[in-house]
Amino acid sequence: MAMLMRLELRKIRLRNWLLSFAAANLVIAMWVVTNLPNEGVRTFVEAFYSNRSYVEMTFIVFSSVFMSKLVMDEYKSKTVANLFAYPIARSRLLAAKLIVTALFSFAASMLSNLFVAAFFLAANAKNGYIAEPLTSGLLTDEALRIFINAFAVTGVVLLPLYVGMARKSGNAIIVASFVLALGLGGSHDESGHNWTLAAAIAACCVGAGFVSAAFAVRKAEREDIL
Amino acid sequence: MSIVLRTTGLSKSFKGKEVVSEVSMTIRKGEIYGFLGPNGAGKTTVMRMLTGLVAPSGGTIELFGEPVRRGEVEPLKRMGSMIEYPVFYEHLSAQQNMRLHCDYMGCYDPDAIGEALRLAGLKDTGGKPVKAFSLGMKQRLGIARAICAKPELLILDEPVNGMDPVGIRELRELFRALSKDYGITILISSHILQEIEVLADTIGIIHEGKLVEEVSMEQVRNERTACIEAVTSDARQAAFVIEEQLGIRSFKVLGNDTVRVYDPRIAPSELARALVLHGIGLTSLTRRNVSLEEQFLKWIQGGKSHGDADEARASKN
Repeated sequence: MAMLMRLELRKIRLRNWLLSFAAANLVIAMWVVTNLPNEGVRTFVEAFYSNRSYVEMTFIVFSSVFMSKLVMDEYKSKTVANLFAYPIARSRLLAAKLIVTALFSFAASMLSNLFVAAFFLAANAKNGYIAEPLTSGLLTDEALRIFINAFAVTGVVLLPLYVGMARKSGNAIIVASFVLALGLGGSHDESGHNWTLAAAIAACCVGAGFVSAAFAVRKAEREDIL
Repeated sequence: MSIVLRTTGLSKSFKGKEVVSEVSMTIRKGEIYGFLGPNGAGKTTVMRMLTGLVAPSGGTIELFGEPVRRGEVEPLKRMGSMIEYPVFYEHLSAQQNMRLHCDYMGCYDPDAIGEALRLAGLKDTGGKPVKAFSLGMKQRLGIARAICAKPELLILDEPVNGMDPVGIRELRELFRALSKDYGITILISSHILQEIEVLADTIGIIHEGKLVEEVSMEQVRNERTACIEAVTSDARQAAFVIEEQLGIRSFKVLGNDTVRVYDPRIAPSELARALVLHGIGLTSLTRRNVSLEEQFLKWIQGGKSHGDADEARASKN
């Protein structure tokens, strides 16, 4: 499976994706430091909540575009006919793509949240947007939330796959992810310090994403490639 | 000679419409099997079923002596294919596309890619992305990709489409070499009869989803209905002699002076003697072979014999 995943990475322009990822992070970070002071944010908990919302909405869509390129472009360009003529089960080929997508989404969510939070804290130290003291407890809590939310984002990213596979359309994946990002972005964060609820919501997102991916793979296994 | 591929009653329906119907074909090891049929006859669908891209609605496929079950990928290790228009990761170079293919196929011979590109006549493409290739170059690259993992069975769907005459000749030589020197069994489809005629050992004719004929080219050459063409002083009179005196009904009158006789039992000398004895001037007498094109048309028109068709025409005259 590791080899199949490496082959997937060789098909895409990884450098372009990393540059786009860096650019997206810079835009979110700049947006956060210019916009948060005007939103009436007074505590670090509120600020971190806003940061995560922006990051999640951005990377649900960004990772869905990534998945669309990795999966749907094979159908669009018809290279899927070559792919499925290799002596490897279709389920394994598609699983490799989805694991790459999931790892990308998870890493993108984690790294971006950490970067944006660090950027905001650096700007705050200089400009003093928030008056309350920053404690190690606040930072630990935020790190844990970022970790749990990265799972949730990964699950949500996989959700539109079934729609995309049914319609054989990358655009369907992106539109569905956009709707999900608007609907779900940050909403699962309102658990406050209830870690059990936060973990349960993240587990539900991962479970739903997994089920959607499983149905999509099952459909791909049975369909004719014309 | 062992059998590499055998289908029995292979069928495929799309939305209730049968596009491939009860195709039973047999391909022996080392031979070049020409799969002939008009556009839309079902050639590509059969090939897609053989490569596992399309699931048959009915019938069985046996590859390398083993029945193929749905979703089974093991036989694909021993096969190479290029079906319809060759597609690639367009932003990657020929080498990168080939390397990807080899890694998926589990082929780690360091010389395989270079050799396949050389055989297909594509050795100096450098780092140019495939999207900058011409159609002919893509066809060659598709063939290089299909052969680079040294398959035992090569499935090629219209491989010379978009090639210039020189390229077609080079590929023809390549296919012959792959068959004779490397022992690769080749299933090649085309609607260009002349191409298959000079290449194939066996041909299968598919029409409206049905395999209407499967025959060795040697048999085709031996059994091709020959005709004798006589240029005479009076074709009508000659037709009378042929029909009444010689009792032949398979003939055709062309214009005022030419008669074609399709009956294989009559020797040219016997025909000449009969015509001259009845005072008919004979300018020339030649034996002509029916082309594969005529034979092909005969097969796809439902097996109606050449003589029968002409007999009907002759009776009208």
